[in-house]
Amino acid sequence: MASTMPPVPAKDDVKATWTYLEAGVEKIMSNLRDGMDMKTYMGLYTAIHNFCTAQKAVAGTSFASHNNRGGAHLLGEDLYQHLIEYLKKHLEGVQDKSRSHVDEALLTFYIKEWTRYTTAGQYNNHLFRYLNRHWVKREMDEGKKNIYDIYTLHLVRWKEDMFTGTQESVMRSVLKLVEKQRNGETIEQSQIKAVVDSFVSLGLDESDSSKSTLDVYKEFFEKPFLNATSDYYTSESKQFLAENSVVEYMKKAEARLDEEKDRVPLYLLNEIMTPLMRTCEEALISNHSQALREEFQILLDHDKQDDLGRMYKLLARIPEGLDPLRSRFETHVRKAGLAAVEKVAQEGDNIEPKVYVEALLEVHTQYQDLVNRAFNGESEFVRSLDNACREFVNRNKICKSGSNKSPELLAKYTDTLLKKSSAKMTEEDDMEKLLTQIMTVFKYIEDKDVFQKFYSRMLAKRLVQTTSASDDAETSMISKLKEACGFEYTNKLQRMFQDMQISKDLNAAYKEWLEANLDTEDLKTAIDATYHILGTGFWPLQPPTTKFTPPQLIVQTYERFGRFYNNKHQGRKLTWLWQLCKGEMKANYTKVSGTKVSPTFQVSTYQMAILLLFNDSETVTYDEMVESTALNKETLDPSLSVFIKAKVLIAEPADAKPESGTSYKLNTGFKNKKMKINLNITIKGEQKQEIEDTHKTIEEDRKLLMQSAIVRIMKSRKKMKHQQLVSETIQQIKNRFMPRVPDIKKCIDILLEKEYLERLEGDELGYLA
Amino acid sequence: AAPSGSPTALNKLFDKYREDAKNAPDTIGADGSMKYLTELGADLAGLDCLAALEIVQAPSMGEIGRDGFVKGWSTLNCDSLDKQKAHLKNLKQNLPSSVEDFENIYKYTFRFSKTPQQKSIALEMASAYWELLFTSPLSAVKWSTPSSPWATWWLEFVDSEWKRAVNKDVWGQTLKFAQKTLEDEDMTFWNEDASWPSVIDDFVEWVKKEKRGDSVDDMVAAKKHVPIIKKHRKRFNR
Repeated sequence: MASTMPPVPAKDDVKATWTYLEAGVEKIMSNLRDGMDMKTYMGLYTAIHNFCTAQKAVAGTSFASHNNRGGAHLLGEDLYQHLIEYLKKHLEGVQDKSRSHVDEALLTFYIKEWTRYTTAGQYNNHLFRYLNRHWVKREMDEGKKNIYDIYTLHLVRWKEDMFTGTQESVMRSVLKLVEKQRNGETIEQSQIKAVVDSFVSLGLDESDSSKSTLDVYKEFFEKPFLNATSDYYTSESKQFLAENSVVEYMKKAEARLDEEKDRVPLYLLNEIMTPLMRTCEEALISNHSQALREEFQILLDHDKQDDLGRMYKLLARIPEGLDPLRSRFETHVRKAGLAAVEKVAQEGDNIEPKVYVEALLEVHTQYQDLVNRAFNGESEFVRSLDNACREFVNRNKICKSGSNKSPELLAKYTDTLLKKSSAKMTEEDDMEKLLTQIMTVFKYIEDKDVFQKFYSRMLAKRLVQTTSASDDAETSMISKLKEACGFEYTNKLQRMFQDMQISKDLNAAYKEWLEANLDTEDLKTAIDATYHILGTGFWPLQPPTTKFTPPQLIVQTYERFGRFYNNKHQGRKLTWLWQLCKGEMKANYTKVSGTKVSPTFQVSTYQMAILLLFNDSETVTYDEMVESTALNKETLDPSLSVFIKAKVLIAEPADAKPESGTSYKLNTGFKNKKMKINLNITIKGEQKQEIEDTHKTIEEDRKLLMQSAIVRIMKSRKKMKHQQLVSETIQQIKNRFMPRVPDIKKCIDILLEKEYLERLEGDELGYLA
Repeated sequence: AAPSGSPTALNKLFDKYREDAKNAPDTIGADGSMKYLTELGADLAGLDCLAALEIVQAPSMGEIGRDGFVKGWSTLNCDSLDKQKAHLKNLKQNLPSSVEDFENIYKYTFRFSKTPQQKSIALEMASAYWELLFTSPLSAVKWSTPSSPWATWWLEFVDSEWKRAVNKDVWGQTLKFAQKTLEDEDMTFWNEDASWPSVIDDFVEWVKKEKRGDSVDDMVAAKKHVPIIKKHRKRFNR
């Protein structure tokens, strides 16, 4: 090998030194594979070392030695410049050759040359390391521009003399290849990866050559790559949509996005992920968002969950992509809710509470399911669903007269669930599920105070009439309400339960007391009775609306209890709620058909008083009834009418109205197959009256609630702007009901008049203690 | 100014109209009041009468107290009937242009029309005073414009729609509202969320519906006109 090398140069002869070196460099450049023996390598290395340490270089090079600092030991510029010249020429040749290649062949060539060149560059770097360590280092330390270590110099030259002239054709070939792959062909993707790597290597930091930047890659690879991507998908999506449905398009777009995402780790730089995705999203989604959104309604109408899910995922990728969907979704759900109510609203005011609540629930369930499955349970869609539900729950055909119809019906439905029924008892799990469903609707109810009113009335009835199906279910429901609305909301309900428990204990104590204090004879004749002691403030119950003289037969019984109770709790006043009392009477004058047993009548206390009159006489006149019972007409007549209907009594003359002059005769021929006959039936009219009364008290309660809220706020703030007071009042009250501004103003008027408040300057109100 | 009229002379003058020196030494009753006001030259059915009563802070109709009489007139340096007459004459001339005096009289009228225990005055009485205060030629707030007879509307409204006693707040806010409507006939200053008492809110709705027959379009049009009108008015004021 040594024979091919020029003679070893004198150490200060530039020309000779370079000639010697050039032969070595050329060998490394073009014939590295044949290897280089140690001797040659050492010779070359030594030549560089010698030259750099020579006292002075021989003049006569093409490079002026103005840089030759007097007496400096480290020389190198001449070698450096010679190397540059060499590389330039070398790369010129490479670039020339590249012109005969196109497409994949060009890539193959480019990559092959790049690999060869950079490998050689590393060897050269090693060879010139004395120059690197001294001359180059000093130049760089002194802040000289455009001086690089030898390897970097190779890269710089490649960039200048090779890359600049070829990158365009190289990229063209790369992009062609990618397009082929996008079109479904198999390509040699390692080629692209090699190109990417080479571009990245060329990113030199001008201020610090030891660092690299992605500038070259970004400018010459990423940018054209993204542009090509955008063009490709813009035209593809346009064409695809022209020939296919939106649903098909969404599948296509979804597949394309996945594909592009998978492409990155295969041969691209990870940094491209975000801009690449954004480019694809722009071309595939943003540009067609209008078409996608137009499909939304159709998909909703046909409940296409999968396609809706796909649309959600696509539009979620672009900024503000989902906003229009949310409002459309809200409108759709609201309409669905209104339509569902409309469908069941045929019966008007007589609608079954169950039917109504189930109609509401069905819509909610359907769309909650959709939100969870298709919209990923996203909170904004949940909010749209909530808004829509709140709308149709409170304002629909059934609620025409006001939003208080929904809470009324919901409370009634709850009542039917919690009441003992002849139908088979609901399993505990099912009951829990049903109660949870009620709470779902309850959450949307605006007039929570109306629900509370009706609920407490019906709970009172269930407790007093012992028609509650299960204590556990009752407790569960109350704790759910408490969780939703707080302690205050359920306080009275809980007190009602306590009263029932206390009453139970009291009855047991009373029984013991009776046994201890009554002789056996008395005990035998005593009427078996149970008492409920209900705290006035907690129970939504009013004293009887009619006068009443209780039948003599029970007077001793209840008076005895009264004495017992007053003895125990001195100073407490007992008011008998006769309208809620009931009893059982044995009809000894007749027998159950086919048996020897007399039937038992279940009656109200009022009815008891009426029937007992027939113990003294088989015929009793209307006037006598009025006189003996002292009941008013509104109570007496309906109680009587049940007896007439059941044929327990017979009016004389027949079909006579309940009025003075009519007589009633006990029907001794009464026939019935049942052992127990319930005659304690509430009349429809009474129920209606009750509902009206309930609504009326709600209005009054609301005024008080608003006034107390206003006073509470003003008491703590002392002074407040009118508008602020109004909005704060709404804040405080809206979880009970939605107060109207004019109503709040009326309350402020009242408080001004009562001088709880005063008007100050500048729209302010002041609190007067 | 510090009281400079002679209290002695005023006390003497007061005694002249007092009826019952023994049982009510410090009060001029109904007859005395009537006589005094007549001699003062006040029109018993006019705004000037209210103005005179305001000066002496008469606690109610047909009753003038010594304290109010002496304090009121001595502040004004009028210790003789002639001086008082002259003052009232002067006042009568100034009243139509003095909003501040008018506001004092307006506020006083409410106190004057009710007993100390009452918190509000009967609507009939309130209406009578409103009519006097808002339509008198002496009024500084004549509540009427060529296109809107506000006072007439107001009295019609409270009589036919509102029908309730008038409390201090309603009384005070009515004047404020009247003044606003005179500045801005289209009532753009009003909105439901502002702190007007309900009676005012209801009146606004009533005027729009009953007197102006506003449809929604009209209201929009009216609103559009407002800025122009306002601009003009400012220019005129300058």
